[in-house]
Amino acid sequence: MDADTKIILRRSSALLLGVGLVVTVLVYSVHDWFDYQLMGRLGLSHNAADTVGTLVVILAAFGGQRLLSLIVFRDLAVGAITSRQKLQQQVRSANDAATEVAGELKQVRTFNDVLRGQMEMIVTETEKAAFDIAERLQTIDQVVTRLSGFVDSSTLESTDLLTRSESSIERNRELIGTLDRYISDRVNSTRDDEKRVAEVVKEVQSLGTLVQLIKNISSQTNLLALNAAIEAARAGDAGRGFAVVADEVRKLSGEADTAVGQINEGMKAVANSITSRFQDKLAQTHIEREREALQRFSSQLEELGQSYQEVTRHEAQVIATIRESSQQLAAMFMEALASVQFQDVTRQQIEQVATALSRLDSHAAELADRLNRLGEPGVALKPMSQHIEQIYQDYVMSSQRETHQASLNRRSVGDGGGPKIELF
Amino acid sequence: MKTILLVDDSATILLSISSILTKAGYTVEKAANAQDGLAKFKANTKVDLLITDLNMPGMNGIDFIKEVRRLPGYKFMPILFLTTESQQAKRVEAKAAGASGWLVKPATADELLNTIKLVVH
Repeated sequence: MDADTKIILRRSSALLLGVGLVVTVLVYSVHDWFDYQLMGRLGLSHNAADTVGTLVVILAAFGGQRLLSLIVFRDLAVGAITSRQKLQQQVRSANDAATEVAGELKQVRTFNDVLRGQMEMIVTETEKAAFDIAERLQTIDQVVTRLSGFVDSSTLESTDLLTRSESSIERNRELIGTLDRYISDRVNSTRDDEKRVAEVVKEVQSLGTLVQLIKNISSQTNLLALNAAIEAARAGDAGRGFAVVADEVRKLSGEADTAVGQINEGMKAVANSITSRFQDKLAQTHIEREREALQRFSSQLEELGQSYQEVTRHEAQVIATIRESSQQLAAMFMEALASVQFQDVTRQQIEQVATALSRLDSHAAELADRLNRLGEPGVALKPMSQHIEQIYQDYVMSSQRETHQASLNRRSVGDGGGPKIELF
Repeated sequence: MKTILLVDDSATILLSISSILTKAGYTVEKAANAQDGLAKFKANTKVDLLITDLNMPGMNGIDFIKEVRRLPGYKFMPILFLTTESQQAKRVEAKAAGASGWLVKPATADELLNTIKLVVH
Protein backbone atom coordinates (compact mmCIF):
# COMPACT_ATOMS: atom_id res chain seq x y z
CA MET A 1 0.00 0.00 0.00
CA ASP A 2 1.47 3.31 -1.06
CA ALA A 3 1.51 6.50 1.00
CA ASP A 4 -1.25 8.19 -0.93
CA THR A 5 -3.60 5.24 -0.40
CA LYS A 6 -2.86 5.25 3.32
CA ILE A 7 -3.58 8.96 3.50
CA ILE A 8 -6.83 8.51 1.61
CA LEU A 9 -7.88 5.67 3.92
CA ARG A 10 -7.09 7.71 6.99
CA ARG A 11 -8.98 10.68 5.62
CA SER A 12 -11.97 8.52 4.65
CA SER A 13 -12.05 6.94 8.11
CA ALA A 14 -11.84 10.29 9.85
CA LEU A 15 -14.50 11.81 7.63
CA LEU A 16 -16.81 8.83 8.04
CA LEU A 17 -16.35 8.96 11.79
CA GLY A 18 -17.03 12.69 11.91
CA VAL A 19 -20.06 12.58 9.61
CA GLY A 20 -21.31 9.46 11.46
CA LEU A 21 -21.20 11.33 14.76
CA VAL A 22 -22.98 14.33 13.27
CA VAL A 23 -25.66 12.13 11.68
CA THR A 24 -26.06 10.14 14.89
CA VAL A 25 -26.58 13.31 16.87
CA LEU A 26 -28.90 14.66 14.20
CA VAL A 27 -31.00 11.45 14.02
CA TYR A 28 -31.19 11.35 17.76
CA SER A 29 -32.27 15.00 17.88
CA VAL A 30 -34.75 15.15 15.04
CA HIS A 31 -36.06 11.55 15.01
CA ASP A 32 -39.39 12.34 16.65
CA TRP A 33 -39.92 15.48 14.65
CA PHE A 34 -39.13 13.54 11.48
CA ASP A 35 -41.54 10.72 12.35
CA TYR A 36 -44.22 13.22 13.14
CA GLN A 37 -43.75 15.00 9.86
CA LEU A 38 -43.77 11.85 7.75
CA MET A 39 -46.32 9.78 9.58
CA GLY A 40 -48.50 12.55 11.03
CA ARG A 41 -48.63 14.92 8.13
CA LEU A 42 -47.89 12.74 5.15
CA GLY A 43 -49.57 9.63 6.62
CA LEU A 44 -46.72 7.24 5.95
CA SER A 45 -46.45 4.04 7.86
CA HIS A 46 -43.75 3.58 10.50
CA ASN A 47 -41.68 1.32 8.22
CA ALA A 48 -41.97 3.69 5.32
CA ALA A 49 -41.02 6.64 7.52
CA ASP A 50 -37.91 4.73 8.80
CA THR A 51 -36.97 3.76 5.24
CA VAL A 52 -37.26 7.32 4.06
CA GLY A 53 -35.36 8.42 7.16
CA THR A 54 -32.59 5.93 6.52
CA LEU A 55 -32.40 7.05 2.91
CA VAL A 56 -32.17 10.67 4.00
CA VAL A 57 -29.48 9.80 6.56
CA ILE A 58 -27.47 7.93 3.95
CA LEU A 59 -27.80 10.74 1.43
CA ALA A 60 -27.02 13.34 4.08
CA ALA A 61 -23.98 11.35 5.25
CA PHE A 62 -22.80 10.92 1.65
CA GLY A 63 -23.43 14.58 0.87
CA GLY A 64 -21.83 15.66 4.13
CA GLN A 65 -18.74 13.58 3.40
CA ARG A 66 -18.42 15.01 -0.09
CA LEU A 67 -19.03 18.54 1.13
CA LEU A 68 -16.54 18.26 3.97
CA SER A 69 -14.01 16.60 1.64
CA LEU A 70 -14.44 19.43 -0.82
CA ILE A 71 -14.05 22.02 1.91
CA VAL A 72 -11.17 20.41 3.73
CA PHE A 73 -9.27 18.57 0.98
CA ARG A 74 -10.56 20.39 -2.11
CA ASP A 75 -11.43 16.97 -3.48
CA LEU A 76 -14.82 15.20 -3.50
CA ALA A 77 -13.12 11.85 -2.71
CA VAL A 78 -10.79 12.91 0.13
CA GLY A 79 -7.85 13.27 -2.33
CA ALA A 80 -8.48 10.09 -4.31
CA ILE A 81 -9.44 12.02 -7.44
CA THR A 82 -6.36 14.24 -7.16
CA SER A 83 -4.24 11.20 -6.43
CA ARG A 84 -5.64 9.37 -9.43
CA GLN A 85 -5.07 12.37 -11.64
CA LYS A 86 -1.55 12.56 -10.27
CA LEU A 87 -1.05 8.85 -10.88
CA GLN A 88 -2.39 9.13 -14.40
CA GLN A 89 0.00 12.01 -14.96
CA GLN A 90 2.83 9.90 -13.62
CA VAL A 91 1.88 7.00 -15.84
CA ARG A 92 1.80 9.30 -18.84
CA SER A 93 5.17 10.72 -17.80
CA ALA A 94 6.52 7.21 -17.28
CA ASN A 95 5.28 6.17 -20.68
CA ASP A 96 6.82 9.25 -22.20
CA ALA A 97 10.04 8.56 -20.30
CA ALA A 98 9.97 4.89 -21.36
CA THR A 99 9.50 5.90 -24.95
CA GLU A 100 12.28 8.42 -24.61
CA VAL A 101 14.58 5.96 -22.79
CA ALA A 102 13.81 3.26 -25.38
CA GLY A 103 14.74 5.70 -28.10
CA GLU A 104 17.92 6.62 -26.26
CA LEU A 105 18.76 2.98 -25.61
CA LYS A 106 18.52 2.41 -29.34
CA GLN A 107 21.16 5.12 -29.68
CA VAL A 108 23.55 3.22 -27.38
CA ARG A 109 24.75 1.22 -30.39
CA THR A 110 25.54 4.46 -32.20
CA PHE A 111 27.30 5.77 -29.10
CA ASN A 112 29.28 2.55 -28.81
CA ASP A 113 30.05 2.66 -32.52
CA VAL A 114 31.73 6.00 -31.84
CA LEU A 115 33.64 4.50 -28.90
CA ARG A 116 34.64 1.46 -30.95
CA GLY A 117 35.79 3.75 -33.73
CA GLN A 118 37.89 5.68 -31.23
CA MET A 119 39.33 2.45 -29.82
CA GLU A 120 40.11 1.16 -33.30
CA MET A 121 41.85 4.43 -33.97
CA ILE A 122 43.84 4.02 -30.73
CA VAL A 123 44.77 0.46 -31.72
CA THR A 124 45.79 1.57 -35.21
CA GLU A 125 47.81 4.52 -33.97
CA THR A 126 49.52 2.63 -31.15
CA GLU A 127 50.29 -0.22 -33.53
CA LYS A 128 51.80 2.22 -36.01
CA ALA A 129 53.71 3.98 -33.21
CA ALA A 130 54.98 0.66 -31.81
CA PHE A 131 55.99 -0.46 -35.29
CA ASP A 132 57.84 2.84 -35.81
CA ILE A 133 59.55 2.39 -32.45
CA ALA A 134 60.62 -1.12 -33.42
CA GLU A 135 61.91 0.14 -36.78
CA ARG A 136 63.85 2.96 -35.13
CA LEU A 137 65.25 0.55 -32.60
CA GLN A 138 66.41 -1.57 -35.51
CA THR A 139 68.11 1.46 -37.04
CA ILE A 140 69.75 2.25 -33.71
CA ASP A 141 70.85 -1.36 -33.48
CA GLN A 142 72.45 -1.16 -36.92
CA VAL A 143 74.45 1.86 -35.73
CA VAL A 144 75.35 0.07 -32.51
CA THR A 145 76.34 -3.04 -34.47
CA ARG A 146 78.58 -0.95 -36.73
CA LEU A 147 80.04 0.68 -33.64
CA SER A 148 80.61 -2.76 -32.10
CA GLY A 149 82.32 -3.92 -35.28
CA PHE A 150 84.51 -0.84 -35.28
CA VAL A 151 85.28 -1.33 -31.61
CA ASP A 152 86.14 -5.00 -32.20
CA SER A 153 88.51 -4.16 -35.06
CA SER A 154 89.93 -1.26 -33.01
CA THR A 155 90.45 -3.64 -30.10
CA LEU A 156 92.41 -6.00 -32.33
CA GLU A 157 94.42 -3.10 -33.77
CA SER A 158 94.98 -1.67 -30.32
CA THR A 159 96.15 -5.03 -28.99
CA ASP A 160 98.41 -5.47 -31.98
CA LEU A 161 99.72 -1.93 -31.57
CA LEU A 162 100.37 -2.53 -27.88
CA THR A 163 102.21 -5.76 -28.65
CA ARG A 164 104.24 -4.10 -31.38
CA SER A 165 105.02 -1.08 -29.22
CA GLU A 166 106.12 -3.33 -26.37
CA SER A 167 108.40 -5.31 -28.67
CA SER A 168 109.66 -2.04 -30.22
CA ILE A 169 110.39 -0.68 -26.76
CA GLU A 170 112.17 -3.92 -25.91
CA ARG A 171 114.23 -3.63 -29.07
CA ASN A 172 115.04 -0.01 -28.18
CA ARG A 173 116.15 -1.17 -24.74
CA GLU A 174 118.36 -3.79 -26.32
CA LEU A 175 119.80 -1.18 -28.72
CA ILE A 176 120.46 1.18 -25.85
CA GLY A 177 122.16 -1.67 -23.99
CA THR A 178 124.28 -2.38 -27.06
CA LEU A 179 125.19 1.29 -27.37
CA ASP A 180 126.00 1.45 -23.67
CA ARG A 181 128.22 -1.58 -23.97
CA TYR A 182 129.81 -0.04 -27.04
CA ILE A 183 130.54 3.18 -25.13
CA SER A 184 131.94 1.20 -22.20
CA ASP A 185 134.09 -0.80 -24.60
CA ARG A 186 135.20 2.45 -26.17
CA VAL A 187 136.11 3.89 -22.78
CA ASN A 188 138.02 0.74 -21.86
CA SER A 189 139.66 0.64 -25.25
CA THR A 190 140.68 4.28 -24.97
CA ARG A 191 142.06 3.67 -21.52
CA ASP A 192 144.07 0.76 -22.88
CA ASP A 193 145.25 2.93 -25.77
CA GLU A 194 146.21 5.60 -23.25
CA LYS A 195 148.33 3.11 -21.39
CA ARG A 196 149.88 1.81 -24.58
CA VAL A 197 150.59 5.34 -25.85
CA ALA A 198 152.11 6.24 -22.51
CA GLU A 199 154.30 3.15 -22.73
CA VAL A 200 155.34 4.01 -26.32
CA VAL A 201 156.16 7.57 -25.29
CA LYS A 202 158.05 6.19 -22.35
CA GLU A 203 159.87 3.79 -24.66
CA VAL A 204 160.65 6.64 -27.05
CA GLN A 205 161.84 8.81 -24.18
CA SER A 206 163.95 5.91 -22.91
CA LEU A 207 165.70 5.90 -26.33
CA GLY A 208 167.06 9.37 -25.39
CA THR A 209 169.52 7.68 -22.99
CA LEU A 210 170.73 5.49 -25.83
CA VAL A 211 171.09 8.56 -28.04
CA GLN A 212 173.06 10.29 -25.31
CA LEU A 213 175.28 7.18 -25.07
CA ILE A 214 175.89 7.31 -28.84
CA LYS A 215 176.51 11.02 -28.54
CA ASN A 216 179.09 10.37 -25.79
CA ILE A 217 180.69 7.64 -27.92
CA SER A 218 180.78 10.06 -30.83
CA SER A 219 182.38 12.71 -28.63
CA GLN A 220 184.92 10.14 -27.34
CA THR A 221 185.55 9.03 -30.93
CA ASN A 222 186.07 12.65 -31.98
CA LEU A 223 188.50 13.12 -29.08
CA LEU A 224 190.23 9.87 -29.96
CA ALA A 225 190.48 10.95 -33.61
CA LEU A 226 191.94 14.27 -32.51
CA ASN A 227 194.53 12.51 -30.36
CA ALA A 228 195.24 10.17 -33.26
CA ALA A 229 195.81 13.14 -35.55
CA ILE A 230 198.22 14.65 -33.01
CA GLU A 231 200.08 11.39 -32.69
CA ALA A 232 200.13 11.07 -36.49
CA ALA A 233 201.65 14.54 -36.78
CA ARG A 234 204.41 13.53 -34.37
CA ALA A 235 205.12 10.52 -36.41
CA GLY A 236 205.87 12.67 -39.43
CA ASP A 237 205.52 11.13 -42.83
CA ALA A 238 204.96 7.72 -41.35
CA GLY A 239 201.92 8.89 -39.62
CA ARG A 240 200.56 10.88 -42.58
CA GLY A 241 198.21 8.05 -43.66
CA PHE A 242 197.16 7.52 -40.17
CA ALA A 243 196.42 11.25 -39.90
CA VAL A 244 194.10 10.94 -42.89
CA VAL A 245 192.27 8.06 -41.18
CA ALA A 246 192.11 10.04 -37.94
CA ASP A 247 190.68 12.98 -39.78
CA GLU A 248 188.07 10.79 -41.46
CA VAL A 249 187.22 9.24 -38.12
CA ARG A 250 186.78 12.73 -36.63
CA LYS A 251 184.58 13.71 -39.56
CA LEU A 252 182.51 10.51 -39.03
CA SER A 253 182.31 11.34 -35.36
CA GLY A 254 180.99 14.79 -36.21
CA GLU A 255 178.47 13.37 -38.64
CA ALA A 256 177.47 10.78 -36.03
CA ASP A 257 176.98 13.54 -33.50
CA THR A 258 174.87 15.46 -35.97
CA ALA A 259 172.88 12.30 -36.76
CA VAL A 260 172.40 11.58 -33.08
CA GLY A 261 171.12 15.12 -32.58
CA GLN A 262 168.70 14.69 -35.47
CA ILE A 263 167.60 11.30 -34.06
CA ASN A 264 167.02 12.89 -30.70
CA GLU A 265 164.97 15.69 -32.25
CA GLY A 266 163.06 13.14 -34.34
CA MET A 267 162.26 11.00 -31.31
CA LYS A 268 161.07 14.05 -29.39
CA ALA A 269 158.89 15.02 -32.35
CA VAL A 270 157.48 11.45 -32.57
CA ALA A 271 156.74 11.40 -28.82
CA ASN A 272 155.11 14.83 -29.02
CA SER A 273 153.15 13.76 -32.08
CA ILE A 274 151.91 10.52 -30.44
CA THR A 275 151.01 12.43 -27.29
CA SER A 276 149.15 15.16 -29.14
CA ARG A 277 147.40 12.76 -31.57
CA PHE A 278 146.01 10.70 -28.70
CA GLN A 279 145.24 13.74 -26.63
CA ASP A 280 141.60 13.89 -27.79
CA LYS A 281 141.22 10.21 -27.47
CA LEU A 282 142.80 10.32 -24.09
CA ALA A 283 140.43 13.06 -22.96
CA GLN A 284 138.02 11.18 -20.75
CA THR A 285 135.57 14.10 -20.67
CA HIS A 286 134.73 13.61 -24.36
CA ILE A 287 133.83 9.98 -23.82
CA GLU A 288 131.83 10.87 -20.74
CA ARG A 289 129.90 13.47 -22.73
CA GLU A 290 129.08 10.81 -25.29
CA ARG A 291 128.03 8.53 -22.52
CA GLU A 292 125.90 11.21 -20.87
CA ALA A 293 124.30 12.04 -24.22
CA LEU A 294 123.57 8.38 -24.78
CA GLN A 295 122.10 8.04 -21.30
CA ARG A 296 119.90 11.11 -21.90
CA PHE A 297 118.83 9.63 -25.22
CA SER A 298 118.19 6.35 -23.50
CA SER A 299 116.11 8.01 -20.77
CA GLN A 300 114.12 10.00 -23.32
CA LEU A 301 113.56 6.87 -25.38
CA GLU A 302 112.42 5.03 -22.25
CA GLU A 303 110.07 7.86 -21.32
CA LEU A 304 108.79 7.98 -24.86
CA GLY A 305 108.19 4.25 -24.77
CA GLN A 306 106.39 4.48 -21.44
CA SER A 307 104.28 7.40 -22.66
CA TYR A 308 103.47 5.46 -25.78
CA GLN A 309 102.55 2.43 -23.71
CA GLU A 310 100.40 4.61 -21.47
CA VAL A 311 98.63 6.12 -24.47
CA THR A 312 98.10 2.67 -25.95
CA ARG A 313 96.79 1.30 -22.65
CA HIS A 314 94.51 4.33 -22.28
CA GLU A 315 93.25 3.77 -25.78
CA ALA A 316 92.67 0.12 -24.93
CA GLN A 317 90.72 1.18 -21.82
CA VAL A 318 88.65 3.64 -23.86
CA ILE A 319 87.91 0.97 -26.43
CA ALA A 320 87.07 -1.52 -23.67
CA THR A 321 84.67 1.01 -22.12
CA ILE A 322 83.07 1.71 -25.48
CA ARG A 323 82.83 -2.01 -26.12
CA GLU A 324 81.19 -2.62 -22.76
CA SER A 325 78.80 0.29 -23.37
CA SER A 326 77.95 -0.97 -26.83
CA GLN A 327 77.24 -4.41 -25.36
CA GLN A 328 75.01 -2.79 -22.75
CA LEU A 329 73.33 -0.82 -25.52
CA ALA A 330 72.78 -4.03 -27.47
CA ALA A 331 71.18 -5.65 -24.40
CA MET A 332 69.04 -2.55 -23.80
CA PHE A 333 68.04 -2.57 -27.43
CA MET A 334 66.89 -6.19 -27.13
CA GLU A 335 64.86 -5.41 -24.02
CA ALA A 336 63.39 -2.29 -25.63
CA LEU A 337 62.35 -4.36 -28.63
CA ALA A 338 60.81 -6.94 -26.33
CA SER A 339 58.87 -4.27 -24.47
CA VAL A 340 57.16 -3.29 -27.73
CA GLN A 341 54.99 -6.38 -27.10
CA PHE A 342 52.96 -4.12 -24.78
CA GLN A 343 51.14 -2.89 -27.89
CA ASP A 344 49.88 -6.38 -28.74
CA VAL A 345 48.77 -6.88 -25.14
CA THR A 346 46.99 -3.50 -25.14
CA ARG A 347 45.42 -4.20 -28.53
CA GLN A 348 43.87 -7.42 -27.26
CA GLN A 349 42.64 -5.70 -24.10
CA ILE A 350 41.00 -2.96 -26.19
CA GLU A 351 39.46 -5.58 -28.47
CA GLN A 352 37.97 -7.22 -25.38
CA VAL A 353 36.48 -3.88 -24.32
CA ALA A 354 35.06 -3.45 -27.84
CA THR A 355 33.49 -6.92 -27.59
CA ALA A 356 32.01 -5.98 -24.21
CA LEU A 357 30.57 -2.82 -25.76
CA SER A 358 28.90 -4.96 -28.44
CA ARG A 359 27.41 -7.02 -25.65
CA LEU A 360 26.18 -3.75 -24.11
CA ASP A 361 24.65 -2.87 -27.50
CA SER A 362 22.57 -6.04 -27.45
CA HIS A 363 21.55 -5.50 -23.86
CA ALA A 364 20.50 -1.91 -24.55
CA ALA A 365 18.46 -3.11 -27.54
CA GLU A 366 16.75 -5.68 -25.32
CA LEU A 367 16.00 -3.00 -22.72
CA ALA A 368 14.56 -0.72 -25.40
CA ASP A 369 12.37 -3.55 -26.63
CA ARG A 370 11.27 -4.27 -23.10
CA LEU A 371 10.26 -0.63 -22.60
CA ASN A 372 8.42 -0.53 -25.88
CA ARG A 373 6.41 -3.58 -24.78
CA LEU A 374 5.53 -2.47 -21.25
CA GLY A 375 2.01 -3.84 -21.32
CA GLU A 376 3.03 -7.23 -22.64
CA PRO A 377 3.66 -9.94 -20.07
CA GLY A 378 6.46 -12.48 -20.28
CA VAL A 379 8.98 -10.47 -22.28
CA ALA A 380 12.35 -12.23 -21.74
CA LEU A 381 15.30 -10.10 -20.67
CA LYS A 382 18.82 -11.40 -20.08
CA PRO A 383 20.07 -9.77 -16.85
CA MET A 384 23.18 -7.63 -16.82
CA SER A 385 24.84 -9.98 -14.31
CA GLN A 386 24.91 -12.70 -16.96
CA HIS A 387 26.54 -10.34 -19.43
CA ILE A 388 29.17 -9.42 -16.81
CA GLU A 389 29.86 -13.10 -16.21
CA GLN A 390 30.13 -13.73 -19.94
CA ILE A 391 32.68 -10.88 -20.24
CA TYR A 392 34.72 -12.59 -17.51
CA GLN A 393 34.65 -15.84 -19.46
CA ASP A 394 35.89 -14.08 -22.60
CA TYR A 395 39.06 -12.65 -21.02
CA VAL A 396 42.43 -13.97 -22.21
CA MET A 397 44.75 -12.44 -19.61
CA SER A 398 45.12 -12.82 -15.87
CA SER A 399 45.35 -9.04 -15.51
CA GLN A 400 41.94 -8.66 -17.16
CA ARG A 401 40.38 -11.13 -14.78
CA GLU A 402 42.00 -9.54 -11.76
CA THR A 403 40.85 -6.06 -12.83
CA HIS A 404 37.34 -7.43 -13.39
CA GLN A 405 37.16 -8.87 -9.89
CA ALA A 406 38.63 -5.74 -8.33
CA SER A 407 36.11 -3.56 -10.17
CA LEU A 408 33.28 -5.61 -8.68
CA ASN A 409 34.90 -5.48 -5.22
CA ARG A 410 35.32 -9.24 -5.33
CA ARG A 411 38.27 -11.08 -3.95
CA SER A 412 40.42 -12.59 -6.69
CA VAL A 413 40.18 -16.36 -6.49
CA GLY A 414 42.73 -17.07 -9.20
CA ASP A 415 41.98 -17.73 -12.81
CA GLY A 416 43.76 -21.02 -13.27
CA GLY A 417 46.71 -19.32 -14.94
CA GLY A 418 50.07 -21.07 -15.04
CA PRO A 419 53.63 -19.71 -14.85
CA LYS A 420 54.88 -17.17 -17.34
CA ILE A 421 57.20 -19.73 -18.92
CA GLU A 422 56.36 -23.41 -19.06
CA LEU A 423 58.00 -26.23 -20.97
CA PHE A 424 55.91 -29.32 -21.59
CA MET B 1 72.37 -21.53 -38.04
CA LYS B 2 68.90 -22.44 -36.75
CA THR B 3 65.79 -21.23 -38.56
CA ILE B 4 62.75 -20.08 -36.60
CA LEU B 5 59.29 -19.55 -38.09
CA LEU B 6 57.43 -16.79 -36.26
CA VAL B 7 53.64 -16.64 -36.72
CA ASP B 8 51.66 -13.72 -35.29
CA ASP B 9 48.91 -11.48 -36.62
CA SER B 10 50.60 -8.41 -35.11
CA ALA B 11 53.07 -6.74 -37.47
CA THR B 12 54.73 -5.12 -34.45
CA ILE B 13 55.31 -8.49 -32.79
CA LEU B 14 56.70 -9.93 -36.02
CA LEU B 15 59.12 -7.02 -36.36
CA SER B 16 60.24 -6.78 -32.73
CA ILE B 17 60.59 -10.50 -32.02
CA SER B 18 62.23 -11.25 -35.37
CA SER B 19 64.75 -8.44 -34.69
CA ILE B 20 65.64 -9.98 -31.32
CA LEU B 21 66.00 -13.45 -32.83
CA THR B 22 68.06 -12.20 -35.77
CA LYS B 23 70.35 -10.32 -33.43
CA ALA B 24 70.75 -13.49 -31.39
CA GLY B 25 71.99 -15.26 -34.52
CA TYR B 26 68.90 -17.08 -35.76
CA THR B 27 67.45 -17.05 -39.25
CA VAL B 28 63.84 -15.92 -39.03
CA GLU B 29 60.90 -16.68 -41.32
CA LYS B 30 57.70 -14.71 -40.69
CA ALA B 31 54.00 -15.39 -41.26
CA ALA B 32 51.08 -13.06 -40.44
CA ASN B 33 48.57 -15.88 -39.83
CA ALA B 34 48.20 -19.65 -39.58
CA GLN B 35 47.44 -20.07 -43.29
CA ASP B 36 50.64 -18.27 -44.28
CA GLY B 37 52.51 -20.39 -41.76
CA LEU B 38 51.12 -23.61 -43.22
CA ALA B 39 52.08 -22.40 -46.70
CA LYS B 40 55.68 -22.04 -45.50
CA PHE B 41 55.68 -25.59 -44.18
CA LYS B 42 54.08 -26.94 -47.33
CA ALA B 43 56.79 -25.19 -49.33
CA ASN B 44 59.27 -27.34 -47.35
CA THR B 45 60.85 -24.33 -45.70
CA LYS B 46 63.61 -25.41 -43.32
CA VAL B 47 62.27 -24.73 -39.83
CA ASP B 48 64.01 -25.76 -36.60
CA LEU B 49 61.52 -24.08 -34.26
CA LEU B 50 57.98 -22.73 -34.62
CA ILE B 51 56.89 -19.81 -32.41
CA THR B 52 53.20 -19.01 -32.78
CA ASP B 53 50.53 -16.81 -31.29
CA LEU B 54 47.38 -18.44 -29.88
CA ASN B 55 44.60 -15.98 -30.68
CA MET B 56 44.72 -15.21 -34.38
CA PRO B 57 41.96 -14.40 -36.84
CA GLY B 58 40.96 -17.36 -38.97
CA MET B 59 42.68 -20.43 -37.65
CA ASN B 60 43.77 -20.25 -34.01
CA GLY B 61 47.19 -21.37 -32.82
CA ILE B 62 46.12 -24.75 -31.48
CA ASP B 63 44.37 -25.79 -34.70
CA PHE B 64 47.39 -24.48 -36.58
CA ILE B 65 49.91 -26.67 -34.76
CA LYS B 66 47.61 -29.68 -35.14
CA GLU B 67 47.81 -29.13 -38.90
CA VAL B 68 51.59 -28.69 -38.71
CA ARG B 69 52.04 -31.92 -36.78
CA ARG B 70 50.15 -33.76 -39.50
CA LEU B 71 52.68 -32.61 -42.12
CA PRO B 72 55.56 -34.99 -42.88
CA GLY B 73 58.89 -33.97 -41.40
CA TYR B 74 57.55 -31.71 -38.65
CA LYS B 75 56.37 -34.27 -36.15
CA PHE B 76 59.21 -33.65 -33.68
CA MET B 77 59.94 -30.00 -34.42
CA PRO B 78 59.77 -27.90 -31.22
CA ILE B 79 56.79 -25.55 -31.02
CA LEU B 80 56.48 -22.65 -28.61
CA PHE B 81 53.39 -20.56 -27.96
CA LEU B 82 53.99 -16.85 -27.41
CA THR B 83 50.65 -15.47 -26.31
CA THR B 84 48.86 -13.16 -23.89
CA GLU B 85 46.74 -16.11 -22.72
CA SER B 86 47.78 -17.58 -19.38
CA GLN B 87 45.00 -20.05 -18.55
CA GLN B 88 46.08 -23.54 -17.66
CA ALA B 89 43.23 -25.09 -19.64
CA LYS B 90 44.59 -23.59 -22.85
CA ARG B 91 48.07 -24.88 -22.05
CA VAL B 92 46.76 -28.39 -21.56
CA GLU B 93 44.99 -28.12 -24.90
CA ALA B 94 48.18 -26.85 -26.55
CA LYS B 95 50.28 -29.60 -25.03
CA ALA B 96 47.83 -32.21 -26.29
CA ALA B 97 48.07 -30.63 -29.76
CA GLY B 98 51.86 -31.05 -29.73
CA ALA B 99 53.26 -27.83 -28.27
CA SER B 100 56.66 -27.94 -26.54
CA GLY B 101 56.32 -24.87 -24.36
CA TRP B 102 54.40 -21.75 -23.43
CA LEU B 103 55.51 -18.14 -22.97
CA VAL B 104 53.18 -15.41 -21.78
CA LYS B 105 53.47 -12.01 -23.47
CA PRO B 106 55.15 -9.68 -22.85
CA ALA B 107 58.28 -11.84 -22.53
CA THR B 108 61.68 -10.25 -22.03
CA ALA B 109 64.46 -10.89 -24.54
CA ASP B 110 66.29 -13.05 -22.00
CA GLU B 111 63.19 -15.11 -21.22
CA LEU B 112 62.55 -15.64 -24.91
CA LEU B 113 66.12 -16.51 -25.89
CA ASN B 114 66.74 -18.76 -22.87
CA THR B 115 63.56 -20.71 -23.56
CA ILE B 116 64.50 -21.09 -27.22
CA LYS B 117 67.92 -22.41 -26.21
CA LEU B 118 66.27 -25.00 -23.99
CA VAL B 119 64.04 -26.37 -26.73
CA VAL B 120 66.32 -25.99 -29.76
CA HIS B 121 69.84 -26.80 -28.57
